[in-house]
Amino acid sequence: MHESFLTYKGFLFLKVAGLAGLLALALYIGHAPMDAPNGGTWLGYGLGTVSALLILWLAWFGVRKRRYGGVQPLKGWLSAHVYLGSALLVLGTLHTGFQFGWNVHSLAYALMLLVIASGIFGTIAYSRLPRLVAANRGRQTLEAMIAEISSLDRGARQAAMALDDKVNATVVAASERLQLGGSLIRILSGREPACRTAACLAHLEELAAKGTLGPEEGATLSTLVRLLYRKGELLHRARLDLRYQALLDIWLHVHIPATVLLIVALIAHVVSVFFFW
Amino acid sequence: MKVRINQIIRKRSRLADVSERDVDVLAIKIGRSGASDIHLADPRVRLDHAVVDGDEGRFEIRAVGDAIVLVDGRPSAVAALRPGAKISVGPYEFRIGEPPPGLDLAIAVELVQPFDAESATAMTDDMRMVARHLPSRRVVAWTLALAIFVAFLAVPVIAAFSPGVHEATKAFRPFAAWNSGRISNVHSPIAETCSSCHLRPFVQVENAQCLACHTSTRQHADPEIVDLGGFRCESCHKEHNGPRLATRADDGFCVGCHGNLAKVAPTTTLVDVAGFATAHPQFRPTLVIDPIGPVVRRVPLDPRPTETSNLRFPHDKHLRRDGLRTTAGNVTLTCASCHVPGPGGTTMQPIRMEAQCGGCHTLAFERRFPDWTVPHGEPDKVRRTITGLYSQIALTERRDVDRAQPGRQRPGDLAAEEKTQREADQAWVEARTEEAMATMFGASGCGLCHATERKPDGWTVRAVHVSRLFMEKARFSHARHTTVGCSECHAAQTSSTSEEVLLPGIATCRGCHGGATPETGKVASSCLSCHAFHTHADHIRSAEAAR
Repeated sequence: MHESFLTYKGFLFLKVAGLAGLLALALYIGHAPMDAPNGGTWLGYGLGTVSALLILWLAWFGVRKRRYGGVQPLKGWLSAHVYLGSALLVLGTLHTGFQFGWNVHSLAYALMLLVIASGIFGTIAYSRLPRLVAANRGRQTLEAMIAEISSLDRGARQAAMALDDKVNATVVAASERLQLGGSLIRILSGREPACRTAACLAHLEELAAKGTLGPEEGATLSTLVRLLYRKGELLHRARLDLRYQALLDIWLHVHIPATVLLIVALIAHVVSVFFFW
Repeated sequence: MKVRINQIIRKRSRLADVSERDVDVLAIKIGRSGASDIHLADPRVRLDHAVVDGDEGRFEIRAVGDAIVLVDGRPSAVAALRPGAKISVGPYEFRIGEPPPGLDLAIAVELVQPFDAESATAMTDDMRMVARHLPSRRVVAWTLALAIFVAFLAVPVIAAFSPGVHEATKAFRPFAAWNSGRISNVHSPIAETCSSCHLRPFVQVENAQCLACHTSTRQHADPEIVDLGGFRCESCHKEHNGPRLATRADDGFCVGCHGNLAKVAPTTTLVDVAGFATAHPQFRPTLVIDPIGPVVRRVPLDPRPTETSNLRFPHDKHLRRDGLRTTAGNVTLTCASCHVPGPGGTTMQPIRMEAQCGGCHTLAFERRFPDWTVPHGEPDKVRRTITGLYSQIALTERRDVDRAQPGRQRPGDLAAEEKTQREADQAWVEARTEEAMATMFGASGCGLCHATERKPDGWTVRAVHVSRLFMEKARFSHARHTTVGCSECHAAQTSSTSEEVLLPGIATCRGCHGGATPETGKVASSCLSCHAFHTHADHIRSAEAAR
């Protein structure tokens, strides 16, 4: 049976991460420093050291993933990366002692939150979306959908050729350009607010409802409606497919640069703390 | 009109495939419609797009309705067809040629702008990628990383080593981003100068930096008894935690040593303590145990000690609830009638005879002259004061009385008479003075409160020794206990002798104070609620210097 990275070895790393988080929390609650809880107490230094090493190890996953060679699967690594990365949320937060300010220390913390948040987004995306992608595609790839849309367009143009200029113009408008993709927001929304195919379909349905057409034209019109309806359905699925692909991709555009920034900020944080000890 | 129509279809090979036909019609209909004479099967062409007609070698093309026809690139509703003209109908180009013999017109038709929908659908992968819409991950990451590195690491580090760079970047406060938290209020004046405390990189703040300003901070203990030199100021005083300077104040810190002093300071006379509520020794106030010396010593309140102060003062007699009979009428005294808090409210002001006792206890010695009093506390002046009064009486009253008896005067013998009179006066003054001195220093005068003695050279009063500060190791403030009545702690109402020490024992304090973690209804009281830390006579600096 397929075992996902989330359930790897019976949630081994979830248990490890949970224990680490609970242990840190228990120590924090029992810890009563003479000053306010902060990163400079023995517990603060301890949590900080563990968190910093964890950050470097988690980042190393990104390097390792890009390396060829070695056949051992990275599923275990990914599982550990996800769960221990989440535990970092607890360890790192307790390390701050909830002291925040406009400084390099809180900058490092904020970047850590950004990395973890984007990572959690990615985890959810990768655990949910592949199923939705498969269900949405059916047996068609996106290329096959586009090819079918293209042939439907051709058919529609052909059918509209004999119809009135006005109808023809809307069909041409709907079929001359593939309204797929576009701006990032449009891709992520999975919708096309100015869909010409939908507009054309509405126009044709309106025309059919009037019933002023002759039998031959009426038959052409109903063919056209069938073609465009199918095209509209395909377009919707293609747009959803693009949306899913974008969601699977976009978090990495935050996760990876933020990780690089986090490591630099972390170095600045550690150096500054011990420079002015 | 007879027209030759050449429809040219260009394939990918660029070789033209020409289908030639001749038509003979009245007018040539051009359009997408199947009924057109020139059928242009393209959706961009109207059903009926244009018409060509005319005769006698003059032909025109007319656009139908608002359809667009371009003649040599310009839209024209009607245009004459001249050989060589180029006419655009939608994506088609019409070229007019020289008519072959027997025909009126030759038109070549070619699709020059094929419908491009196929290429539109062949969308590149690139267009679908999110990356296309975002700046390069690598560029973003490295640019911002460099910015963080420069602003938060490189500039402050360089500024720390180079005064020139520090001066140049001062306006940007290069170390502001390194500050982990607000500095305490008391240290605000040095907050902007990191080097006030952080002198050497990667070295913890040293005591010398603190002592540079704190020149009078005292040792905690005698270095002869226990050496605390290894402690860092910072181990108890934490900075960058907000407006209040964090100071170590937990009992555990004190009890760590004071719970078992034998281990750290074998020669100390202090008693072990492990917490106020349960493991604190009975108070040991500093008492005068021998007024000769005087000898003072810390004596525990269990069993009740006595203090030998050389003073007689029965509190109970003065605090009678039914009042005291005085020359000014019936007076009821309270504690506050005599005990006035000193500055700061910690201790009471010393009792002064003139201020507190003099209202009732007069130092007059001659009933007829109640205002003529002896000075308190100056036995030498007492005799002179008394002699002064009686001499004055002798000079005025006695002589007048004697002169009123003229029968005893013998004229001519005035000098002898005067001499005899003076001797008599002197003897009288002396006798009265001795009498008054005995009364004054006796049991109804000074002796009422003091231990007096008649010695060959005169009367003496034993010096009074009362502790000014009973609890010298603790800080007790009367001012902070004003909501509690005096008698709740001091059993003065029933005290009949001044040997009794009226200080409350620890049990009284424990009635309200419950230690660091008190039971419900009690006040939390840590070691530092009553005791200070830097209390030794020596300054830290002197000890550091000696080391």
